[in-house]
Amino acid sequence: MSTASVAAGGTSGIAVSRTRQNQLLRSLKRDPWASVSLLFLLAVVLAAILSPVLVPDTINSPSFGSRLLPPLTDGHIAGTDQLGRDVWGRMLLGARISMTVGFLTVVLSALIGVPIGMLAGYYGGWLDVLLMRLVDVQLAFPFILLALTINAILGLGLRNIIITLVIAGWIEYARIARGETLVVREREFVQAAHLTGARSGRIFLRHILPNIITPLIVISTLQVARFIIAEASISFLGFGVQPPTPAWGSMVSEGLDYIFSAWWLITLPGLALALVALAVNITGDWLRDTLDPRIRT
Amino acid sequence: MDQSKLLLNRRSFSKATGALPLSAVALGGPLGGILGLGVLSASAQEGMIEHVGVGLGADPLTMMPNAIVDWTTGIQLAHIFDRTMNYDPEQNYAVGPWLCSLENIDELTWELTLVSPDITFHSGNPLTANDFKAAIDWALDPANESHYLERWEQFEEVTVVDDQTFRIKTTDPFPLMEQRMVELHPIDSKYLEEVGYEEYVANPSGTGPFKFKEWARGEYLLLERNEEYWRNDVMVQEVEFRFSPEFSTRLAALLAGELGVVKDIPVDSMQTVEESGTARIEAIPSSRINYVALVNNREDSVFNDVRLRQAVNYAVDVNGIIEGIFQGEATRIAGPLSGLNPDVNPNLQPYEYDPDKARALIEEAGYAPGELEITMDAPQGRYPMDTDAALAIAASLGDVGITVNVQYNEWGTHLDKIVNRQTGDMFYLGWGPALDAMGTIAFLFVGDSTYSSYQNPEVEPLIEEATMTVDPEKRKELWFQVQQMVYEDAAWLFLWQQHDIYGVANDISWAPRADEFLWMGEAEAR
Amino acid sequence: MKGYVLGRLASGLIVIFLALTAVFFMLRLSGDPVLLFAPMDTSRTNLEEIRERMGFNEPLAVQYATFMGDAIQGDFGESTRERRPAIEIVLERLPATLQLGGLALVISLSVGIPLGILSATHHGSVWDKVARLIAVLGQAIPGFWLGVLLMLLFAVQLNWLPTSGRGGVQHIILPAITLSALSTARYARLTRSTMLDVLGQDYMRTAKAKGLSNGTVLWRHALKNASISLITMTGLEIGRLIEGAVVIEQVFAWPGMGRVTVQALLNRDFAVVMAAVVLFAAMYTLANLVADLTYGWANPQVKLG
Repeated sequence: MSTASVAAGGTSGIAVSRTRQNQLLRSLKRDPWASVSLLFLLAVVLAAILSPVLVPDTINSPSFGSRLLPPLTDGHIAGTDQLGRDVWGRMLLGARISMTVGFLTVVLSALIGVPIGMLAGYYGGWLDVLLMRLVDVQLAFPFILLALTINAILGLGLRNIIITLVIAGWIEYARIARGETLVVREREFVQAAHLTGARSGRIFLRHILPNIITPLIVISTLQVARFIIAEASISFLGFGVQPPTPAWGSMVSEGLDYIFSAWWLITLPGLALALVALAVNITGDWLRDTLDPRIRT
Repeated sequence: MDQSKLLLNRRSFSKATGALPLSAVALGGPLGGILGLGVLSASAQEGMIEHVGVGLGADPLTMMPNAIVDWTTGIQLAHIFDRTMNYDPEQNYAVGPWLCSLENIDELTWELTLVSPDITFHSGNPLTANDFKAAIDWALDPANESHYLERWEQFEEVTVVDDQTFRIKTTDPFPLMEQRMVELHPIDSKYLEEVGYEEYVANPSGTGPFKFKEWARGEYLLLERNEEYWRNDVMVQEVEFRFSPEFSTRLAALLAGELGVVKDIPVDSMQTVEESGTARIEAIPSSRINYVALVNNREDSVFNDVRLRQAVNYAVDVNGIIEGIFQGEATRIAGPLSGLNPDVNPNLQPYEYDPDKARALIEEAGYAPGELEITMDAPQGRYPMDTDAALAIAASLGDVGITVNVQYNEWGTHLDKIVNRQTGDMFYLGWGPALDAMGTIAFLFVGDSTYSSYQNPEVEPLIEEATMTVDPEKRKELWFQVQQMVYEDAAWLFLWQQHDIYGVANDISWAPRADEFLWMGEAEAR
Repeated sequence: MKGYVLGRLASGLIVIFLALTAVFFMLRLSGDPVLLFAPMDTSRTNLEEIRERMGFNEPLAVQYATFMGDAIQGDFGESTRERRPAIEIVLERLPATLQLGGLALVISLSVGIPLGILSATHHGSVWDKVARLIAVLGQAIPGFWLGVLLMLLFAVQLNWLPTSGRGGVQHIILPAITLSALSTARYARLTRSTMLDVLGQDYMRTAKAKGLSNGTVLWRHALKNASISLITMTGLEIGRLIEGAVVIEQVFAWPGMGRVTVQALLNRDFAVVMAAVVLFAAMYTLANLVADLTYGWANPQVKLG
């Protein structure tokens, strides 16, 4: 996905993207950690896509006869929970939900944040002042409290968690897009395009965006991990998704009540969560090191 | 060497006195000498505990009694301030004397008499009838914004007869007087006058078994033993209410030996506690009930049809849920009152689990299987196992062809939706402690009450009659009738009374009560 | 310089004002506070009386004007539950939060930076990999889970430390370590990447060519340059620590501002939340101002203003 989007908008055409592709592949060979992480993420995404097929519809029906079975009993590789539901099946479904939370929030916050940031950085003036104040206002109030307040208004649920996270997440993109645009704006080809009378939309899409996209991609990988974990924290504070929706974060926070009696309920979804966050982080590091080592995150 | 160091560790102390009587004799010289200087007399040592930590979710909201209705606040204040009357576990939780006994003089007049002339406040002031009057007057002064302003609005006048006696005159016949006297705590009016309100709440003086020592907000409330407690010899030197919002943290603290009593252990952690070697489980059926309201006082609700309400009661395998989810730690209720309630109608038998009958009723009501789709609003973590129980109820109803979508709400939103009638046609709620019919039925089943969302023009006159009837037998007869009608009319999906499950440290002898009165006044070493 | 500081403080005030406005309207949308503190068996008429008495029946604009009018004079209203000034409730929790956040910051600085240096100077080695793994792990575990795991191990199993609460030094160890995990990871990452960046630059090669020993090169140049980004980051990091503390305080029953604010949000105790917003915003603004001033001091060629 990342290579494709880099390629799509390269300023000097296809040559750059080929070099970059090769560069990425070469560095992947040198970095076994990144390869493993990427493969793992692919597997999780695959599981997320296939989970409706793999998991029977009855997964969320209570079955009191088989409550709290430890892993590897009666064909439940990850055991069962307090309602006798298969934990592994729920984790597979959870992959779909947590991945949706992670990726959807990142895409939506980028879609909101990047244009605003670019506009503010390019035009400056009151727009810029307004943006920077907004950013400050939002940063001044701890994100998690903001999330709770918004969820208290909107109610519990997956959709509302995504809305909350987007509201909290777009500023990161706006800040970075603004900063990078400030630099790119002064570069010759942008100035030239401006002088030749190119439409603003064209300047943004063809000249600025391709040149600021790398840091945005790198930030996105970190944000995916941050959002997936944020969902867990929000659940922990009592504003999670609607049961029986098996988001990993809410499984972890529900499992907390069983930490003394059924360790697998918190540990297994927690491990899944940690491994994905780990893999996403390693991938992000690798992308940064390869594409643009000057980005500091 | 000071006494507190000697007795620093509660466990080693009780071991020394309990398990090794010889060592107590051997230590009799130095230890007894030091203790004799302190508060412990040699004879009081037996069964004495140095320190008990009680885990609670939150701080008290105030140190002023008769101000705020809140379980957490009330429980802590009750240790400093005695109740006027109290539920008596030996009398099946009927209200009995505590500081006072109650007598009905005429329809509108009640007389209260102190049970002993020798009760004193922690300040040293003797307790007199004036202190009760002062408490009621304080609460009824609108300037003080007490919650009891509304609860006691029928109290027209309080008159002091003599030091030991006072009378309350009500505007209407008021059968709830006994229950309201459980809420009343006398205040040290002489001390209050001397020091003023600010100092009084900073350093409260009551008649209770423990004296206020220190309140570190967000951390703990520390109370120390009242050596001159009038009711019994208090065996706990120091009670510390410790506040931690997370259940798993309180449980960890119990297992680590930091806390002595923790409420609301989830059923699935009971075994962990029992096997820990540091603590045990003490469980008791509570008077708090859980039910699912089947909204019948809103035009668009499907449950305006009694057949559907009955169908729901037949369709849900309540006993199965109690066994399956609660591991038996809940007690089925047949009608709107718990078995502990003295006014409960014993003739009612819970609806049987009969899915076929449910299907027939649904068809009779004109719905094909799978046609009905209902939203049930439910809280999360408010009542024991509520999240899971709601899902199980939905699954039961799914089996008879009613699709139920459970909508979980954060507690504040849940209440808001119920009061503003924005819930689905069903919602999950608890009520209690409900130890009298009036506080439950008369509040829930009259007028536009939203918490029950049940209205029945035939039931209301009966309730009205009952609330005005002071004769207990006659009143009880009326309550029986009301329960019978509500039961037949399937007002709710009647669920269960909760069990209160406590984790208690092994070295403490302590028994829970059904009225949620978490009382350390009679705890002792074990 | 003085003008700059004053300007920043003024803009901080604007931020606080805007944050208050936003939160005010959000809170009023979040539900009825009266239902939550009045006992459930309060009649509808009585509920209405209470709402009237507390001013919740006024039009929103009037409530807002009243609130802002009082807030400007430092009065954020009374807690509906505790019936005492909201600012008092929040302020008395401030020391605990500062203590926890401060210690967590110290831990993350003193672990994260050396970890990052180790990683950068041994670029590509096993050390680098281990350090990076630790850094990434810190960002991969939800704080509350890590907290409970540490509590189980050190308090319940080993009995070395208390599970929760505040009191002696032993009480703060577990929450501070848990809270610092995420920051430690971020400091390690940042130190590593800035150091690598600086070490790769021309003047560093020149310095090496001049024959400066490895150690001197490192400490004199690389670290000094890296410190600039570290200082900038610390401004933001303080905000993030406060945020993390909201969850950690809940787990360890630490009596800080985060916990009191979560409680107030759940209870719709508006005045307390508003007072907390002011304090959080003020802390954030000050932290960033201090970071920027330090930045100017560490890097004199940067002109402030």
